[in-house]
Amino acid sequence: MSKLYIFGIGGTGARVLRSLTMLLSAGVECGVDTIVPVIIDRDISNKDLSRTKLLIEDYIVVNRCVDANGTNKFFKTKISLLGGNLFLQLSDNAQQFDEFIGRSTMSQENNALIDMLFSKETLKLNMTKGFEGNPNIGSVVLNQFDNNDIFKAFANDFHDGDKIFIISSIFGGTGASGFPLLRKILHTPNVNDAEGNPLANWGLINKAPIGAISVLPYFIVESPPKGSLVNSDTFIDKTKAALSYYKNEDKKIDTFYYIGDTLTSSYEHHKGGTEQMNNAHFVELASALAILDFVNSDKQNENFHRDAHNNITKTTYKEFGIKTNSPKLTFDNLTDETRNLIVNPLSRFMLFAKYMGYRVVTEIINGKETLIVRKIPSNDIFEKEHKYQPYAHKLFTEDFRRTNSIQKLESIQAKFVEWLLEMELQNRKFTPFNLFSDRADDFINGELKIIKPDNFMYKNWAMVDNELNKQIVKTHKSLQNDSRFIELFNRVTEKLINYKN
Amino acid sequence: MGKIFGEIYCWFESLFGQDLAEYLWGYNCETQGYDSKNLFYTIGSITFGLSLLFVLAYYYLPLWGFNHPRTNRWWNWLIILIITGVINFIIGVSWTINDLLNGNIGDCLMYTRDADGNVVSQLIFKSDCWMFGVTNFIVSALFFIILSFILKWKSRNCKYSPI
Amino acid sequence: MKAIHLLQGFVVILLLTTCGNSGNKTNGKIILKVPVKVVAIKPTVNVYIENSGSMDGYVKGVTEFEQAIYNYLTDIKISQFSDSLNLFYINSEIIPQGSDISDFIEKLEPTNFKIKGGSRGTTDISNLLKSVLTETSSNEIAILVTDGIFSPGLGKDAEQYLVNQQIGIKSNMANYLKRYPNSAVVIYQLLSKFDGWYYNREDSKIKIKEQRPYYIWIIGETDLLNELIRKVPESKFKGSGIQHAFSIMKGPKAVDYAIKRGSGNFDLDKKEPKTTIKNLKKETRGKRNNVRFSVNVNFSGFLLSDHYLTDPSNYELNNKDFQLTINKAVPNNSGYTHQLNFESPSVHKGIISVKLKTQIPQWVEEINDSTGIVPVKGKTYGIKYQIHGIYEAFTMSNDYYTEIKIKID
Repeated sequence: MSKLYIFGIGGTGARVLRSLTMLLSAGVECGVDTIVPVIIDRDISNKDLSRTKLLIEDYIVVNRCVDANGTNKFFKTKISLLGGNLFLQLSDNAQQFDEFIGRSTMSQENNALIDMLFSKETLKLNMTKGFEGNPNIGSVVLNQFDNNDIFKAFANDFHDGDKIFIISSIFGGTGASGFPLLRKILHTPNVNDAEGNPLANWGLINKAPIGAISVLPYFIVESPPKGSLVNSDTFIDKTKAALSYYKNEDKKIDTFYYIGDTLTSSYEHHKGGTEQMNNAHFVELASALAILDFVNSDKQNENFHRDAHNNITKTTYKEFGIKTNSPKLTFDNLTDETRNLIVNPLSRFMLFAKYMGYRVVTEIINGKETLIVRKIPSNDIFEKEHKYQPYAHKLFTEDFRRTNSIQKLESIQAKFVEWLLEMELQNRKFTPFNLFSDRADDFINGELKIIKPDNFMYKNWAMVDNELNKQIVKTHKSLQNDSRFIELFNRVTEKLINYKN
Repeated sequence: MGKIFGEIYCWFESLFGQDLAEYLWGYNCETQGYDSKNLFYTIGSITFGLSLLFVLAYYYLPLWGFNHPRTNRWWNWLIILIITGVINFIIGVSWTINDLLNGNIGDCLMYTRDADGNVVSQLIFKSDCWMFGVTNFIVSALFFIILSFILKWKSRNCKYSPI
Repeated sequence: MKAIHLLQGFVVILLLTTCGNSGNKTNGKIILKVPVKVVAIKPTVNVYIENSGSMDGYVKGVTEFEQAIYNYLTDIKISQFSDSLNLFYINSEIIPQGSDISDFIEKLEPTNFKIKGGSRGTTDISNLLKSVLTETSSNEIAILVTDGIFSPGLGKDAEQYLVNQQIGIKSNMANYLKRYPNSAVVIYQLLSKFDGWYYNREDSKIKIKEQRPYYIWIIGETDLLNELIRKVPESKFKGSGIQHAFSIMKGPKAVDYAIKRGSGNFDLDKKEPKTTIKNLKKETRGKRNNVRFSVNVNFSGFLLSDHYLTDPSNYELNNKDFQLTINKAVPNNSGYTHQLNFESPSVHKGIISVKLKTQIPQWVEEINDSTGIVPVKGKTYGIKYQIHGIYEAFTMSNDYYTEIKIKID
């Protein structure tokens, strides 16, 4: 029962965790039983954060109902929250930076020091909206999270053998400065809590396997309105500044992952708050793969180099690559290793979602043609067929679909398609699937033959129903209906989609 | 076995008449006994066999129309039942009409004659043969229904067809 | 027992082989014998005319009696029923009269009766019968012509005499039946002009000129009688013809019968379709609310008239609920002569048994003259005692010709 604690810092952390949750929903192989995510951010009204939170909550409900000991892979890995919380919120009451640091209570000497360190604009900065791309500010402020309750829960929960991973972006505010700070705290021995009591298991945590990913720029911000400190041009400069600081992390991290993209998308300029919701990007998916690489038991030897005293002797640096470059990526463009990881799970989960009726359609919303994910009744094969097919007989009825776990499952399926749609709309498109297709056999883009070809007998969705009817007898009667349902679809999609290099 | 089939057919004896029934039982005018071929057994076996064949096909043959997720509705089953019934109807009619027209049915079953040997009345008509066809349809349907409920349980796609 | 049989068998085989060999001992060569076909030998008919005094009136001049006898015998000859027909007079003795029928008939005159001899006084019918029976062996038929009148004599106890006669007849017949159990007796009553002396029971005579009955007895094996009657049926008799016919044979004899398909609301049992009915129900057709079925029977072996066979009083049913009627069978290829029709208000299960009884017809009582003083038209004194005597001989072990059993399931 080993765990991986993931600290996702800032918006990037939230988005990578979103991708990771999608991958785990699809049943991608994970080297640990349990993932414990923590998103660290000041700005909890961030839509990315709330989106990830809802997704993880749904995931937890579904994961609880699947059989841990069965063959089913969908939702197999457990995600648990520390104390039921996802956010490690950095809270304070001050509105402006100089108030926050308590300038009014400082001595004259300290006041003078402050004036020297920080510019007037910076001192007057409104705190609740992030650090507007000022990592230097971020560093100071972030120092206070070691008094947080969630951190205590983390310490209490930690066991020997658990691992730690930190997600952060190299650009931007919260992430860039937060990562080295967090790492420092994790490696500080004998940390005490607010009351002065030593945090539990801190010795283990000091020595725990630790990995990190630094997400390099993959988007640019459109021209900012006057008065904003967020400026893409300064991103690269800030990146350089942060990278030099990261040199200090060498031999402090077991495995250090880098990822970025030269082909950038541009996002609308938002400083944060409810507006900052960035569409999913393939880079985030690849970042999630880094996490899975870190816990992959086959990679232990290449990821970890420790001496006899359990000190890190060497940091392994890894970067993500694709096989062939193209602004439009399909499975064809990915390396064999990546394909082995994600082709089958994503395709299987996609088939599952399609069966339940989820696909992308064009609708006129507010006068504008919009692409949107909907459950289309005529494509809802389950709805049409469950009355007649033996696999569903007396098991998967109308009422069944209304049960909480299945509602959550379908919610995740809709979000999954949405996630894929967002990645398809980026400049660097990731389009492994034809999201508009309503057939069972033609939705894989590219040259790879992934889906079992139908024979003259069972075509399209009939092929799936036939397989469902075949596999239902192999699932255990003792399982709860929801668990059985998911396992059934896992078996069936495995039979129909079994890509080998 | 012949007796069982005969009993089943004779539930519907009023449809095709006792005289044709006697012929099918194998009544021999010469010996006044039932030592001719029991045609209820023969025709019954064919009807039973065809029903069995179609039932097995519907539930187990991997072919569109049979054991297929899109043709497992109750009315698909009904269509197959009707097809089987119609085939057996045709067999029932043609067999008996053939025997009737070829004079295979004994005279004592066909006609009542007076003291001089002239025909007083005819006992078996073509309409009886048609009605026997109808009976065979009904018997076929009965076999089909019973065999369906016995044999469908291992069918992958049609286990709950018709219910 | 077994050893003796074996020995007998061995001896027979030995004899046969030795016989075979001895017949062919010609130079040691074996000569093949031509196979001999065994042809059925035609029966012999012996005709006995009673020539006692009371018979004179029938043969004076040309009478129906002579005509009838002449015709009958001629018919027998013509039908090739028999190759040898022997003629006799009979009273206390049997006097052969050769085989020439026409000559015989011509010579039927009272004068010749007298000449031919024998004791022409009394007619002891029991003895008469005994003599005839003694002379009749297998493959022979006896035809006895007599007036059948008893003459106990003056001062004799008539009643006792008649009874004794009956016993005697019974005894003689019974003895005969012991040797030839397949025998039958047919008695025809005919009428003829009688011109002569009528002797009453006290042996007093009256001169009369009127029609008087006389009787032709035919005795022999049942099958032979059957054939004779078939070849020379009652209808062939000339003159006023046969008034009454009585026939009797031993029972019980199995007959061929079968339930008539379609004669009611039932199914035939598949294994026993001739004798067993299943699912017997009330009639649905018409207003009749009863249960019915019919059975075809072959009564041809019984020498019984249609009149006898179609009379329900000659049958005994074991189930009082059923009503029986009998009619001639519809023409068929199976040899059925009659059809028994059963009717009952309700359904029964079990075995219905019908016995065709051996009975003395009612008319026997009617033609019996019980007084015997003066001639009564159409009646004969004491005739019923003769018939009763015969009847008793034939019904000593049982009193029915055949039994038909129908099982209703």
